[in-house]
Amino acid sequence: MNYKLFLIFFVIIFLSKGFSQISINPPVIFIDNNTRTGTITVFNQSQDSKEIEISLKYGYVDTDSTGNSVLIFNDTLTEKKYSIAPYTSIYPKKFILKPNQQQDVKFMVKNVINLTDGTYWTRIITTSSDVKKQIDTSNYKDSIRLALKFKFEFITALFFQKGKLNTSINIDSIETRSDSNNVVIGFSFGKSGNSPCMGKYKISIFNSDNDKIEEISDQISIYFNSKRYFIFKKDKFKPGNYKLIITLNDDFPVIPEENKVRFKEISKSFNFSL
Amino acid sequence: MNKIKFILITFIIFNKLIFSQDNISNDYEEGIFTLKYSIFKKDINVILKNDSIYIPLFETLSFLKIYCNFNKDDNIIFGYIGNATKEYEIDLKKMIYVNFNGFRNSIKKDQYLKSETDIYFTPFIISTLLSVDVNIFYSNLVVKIISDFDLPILELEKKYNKYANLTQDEFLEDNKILPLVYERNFQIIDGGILTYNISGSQNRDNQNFNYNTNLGIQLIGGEFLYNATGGFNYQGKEFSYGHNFRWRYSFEENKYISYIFLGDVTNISTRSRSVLYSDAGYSTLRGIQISNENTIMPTVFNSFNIEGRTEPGWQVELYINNQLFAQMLSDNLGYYSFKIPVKYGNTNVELKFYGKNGEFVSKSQVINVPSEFIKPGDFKYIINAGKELYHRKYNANGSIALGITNWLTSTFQLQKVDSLNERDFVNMTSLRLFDGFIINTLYSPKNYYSGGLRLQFEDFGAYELNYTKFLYSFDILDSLSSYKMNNSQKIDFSAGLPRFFSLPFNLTLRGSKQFNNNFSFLTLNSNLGLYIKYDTL
Repeated sequence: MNYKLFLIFFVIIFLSKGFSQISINPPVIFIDNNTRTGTITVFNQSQDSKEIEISLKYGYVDTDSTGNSVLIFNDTLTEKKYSIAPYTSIYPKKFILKPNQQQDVKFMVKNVINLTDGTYWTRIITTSSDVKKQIDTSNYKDSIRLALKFKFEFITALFFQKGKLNTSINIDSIETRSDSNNVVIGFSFGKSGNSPCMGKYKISIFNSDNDKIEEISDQISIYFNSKRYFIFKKDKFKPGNYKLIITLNDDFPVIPEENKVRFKEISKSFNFSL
Repeated sequence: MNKIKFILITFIIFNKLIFSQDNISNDYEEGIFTLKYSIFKKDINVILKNDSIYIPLFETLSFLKIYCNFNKDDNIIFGYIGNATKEYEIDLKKMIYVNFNGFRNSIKKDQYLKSETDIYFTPFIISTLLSVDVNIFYSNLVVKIISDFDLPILELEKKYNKYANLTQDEFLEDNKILPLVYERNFQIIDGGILTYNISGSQNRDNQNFNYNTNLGIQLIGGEFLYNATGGFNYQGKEFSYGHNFRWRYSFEENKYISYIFLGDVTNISTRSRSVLYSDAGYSTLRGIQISNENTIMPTVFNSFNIEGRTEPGWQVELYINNQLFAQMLSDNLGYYSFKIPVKYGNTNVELKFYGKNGEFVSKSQVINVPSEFIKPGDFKYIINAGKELYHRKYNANGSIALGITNWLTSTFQLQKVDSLNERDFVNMTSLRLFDGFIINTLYSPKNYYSGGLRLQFEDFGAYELNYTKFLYSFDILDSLSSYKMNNSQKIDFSAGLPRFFSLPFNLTLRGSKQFNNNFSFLTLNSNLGLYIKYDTL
């Protein structure tokens, strides 16, 4: 029985069009206290009708201790303070999307008069599944049938910005560790202000001869005081002393200019040994 | 168990959580749609029930800036569009509605829903109530309103655009320095123009030959004009001739002197009429004239304040000669004030008041500034000196006109004739009591005093009445005899009647009565004008 189940599962996985079935635009929406509404558009790029469900779930991006990005969904402590989900209504929450069609989904934020100035957020969970077909059961005899329904979740972000916004970031300390393949460097970020810090980081590592041996750069979102870990291939490192320079600025192209919460660029230097 | 069993296994990709749709109570759902009209849009909450959509009326009217009043006791919604003449009404007790075109229709129970904050109607009701098209687009969640006429929100936008493009340059053209085509070029002598005319006439008894020639050239940086006329009578062997010449040098943008005349000059000023009654009259001198008079008639007279009171927060537009000049919101007490430039002649001022709910009121007035007035603080003088050509006496006279206030201009003139010891003094004062109501006084201690009233109406014509008391004697000639007039008085009147009721006629009446204890003369004349217009289109 288990064998059959797994077989069916894998067949369906390979036959389905998987991740490309719907797309959502924009990936991030910002709502301010004046308009209080935002819109996403869901496209059905597949050849089948899809059942779409929209819901909200508080969450934010962080990294785990191995340096991988993760979405934190179970932080109830910060959820109470920063989640905009309880104030947000959605329309439509559920709909059928025919092939090559699109549907706007609107979000309206209400009753936020008591919220203090700051940025609040939630994740938009867009779930796509095949439309449940009517099954003619008249010819079935007493037997057990198995029906599988795949649901694909697409996670985008909704930010609500109220009043005067500010944010700043500091890098308090670093920690390093290594295993046989990687060198992992962790940074302790201290964030203050009423909004997340969204920008771009650049980490440059120099050996004792002051030669740059490694440099990485990417977007980063820091919601709270946290540790972030970055992974480097170990083959570029030899035992010795190193200097690290990390720079953070507020360059985050996905965010519209009017929604950017600016902060002062920061650059710090640390020494470490391997 | 003879039943088919289904086992539903749900695989969740990315995350373990599934959010099911909320259960919606009372079989309706709240939707979020974008209400669009022209370039405007707003997200609103609509109600969806049994495949019908209900649009919030109050929010829609507020978005479109259409006035609306809800009488909760009578359950009547009342309002109007634009200028308060297009009324509409919804009576939810009688279940009827009337749109602003007078179209009356009933409302069914399933055509509206009531909530605590709004009343939701189907698109059909909204459409017929406002005489607009209401289209629903479900895929992009849009309620689109299309109207054949401009709804108030669009009218307002156009009005604000008009305000943004408002320019007052045209009204302030006297302050505008126009670019010179080329700089002034001083020439001792330069090209000019010469015209001549020679004619002859003949009848049974007489043969006459006449000539007339005019020369105009640029001379020593100024303009020189020479005119010569003459004639020859063959029978009488009489030869007559005459000539006059004048050279003028103009000064650019000089407040104190605008020109010098040399040669044959007339002591005429553009605004002073005192010379009409003085001994000098329009006499011609061969001599010099200096003045700071405008070489062309000025246009802008001065700034006037237009102020008043209306309802607080109303939009007040001020039009000058049918063009928008300025706009403002009345203050908390309803006061408004504009400073406007007033030109010589008639300035038509119209005020338009727009209320918050589409009310509209207008009023207009005419500000009349005759040419005898000059700007407050400004002065104009003219000085003449030379030999009077007719009496062959040396004569000097001068006048100065002072703009004292917007409503008062006074001109003083003094004349001295060489052979006479006494000086001839004349004062003329113009007083504008209010718009279109002007008093003129003329006083010459030795000769006369005079006072007159001029009334000018925008729609009812212009009227003038003048009284003069002469202090000197003179002769009046008619076809039969001559009369010596002592201590005489004169009343002049004139009336210019406009074209009433758009009739193609206008009528001008003039009259005067001159009298003393012995004689009385009445002169009347009238002029009837006929307008004939033929349009080929």
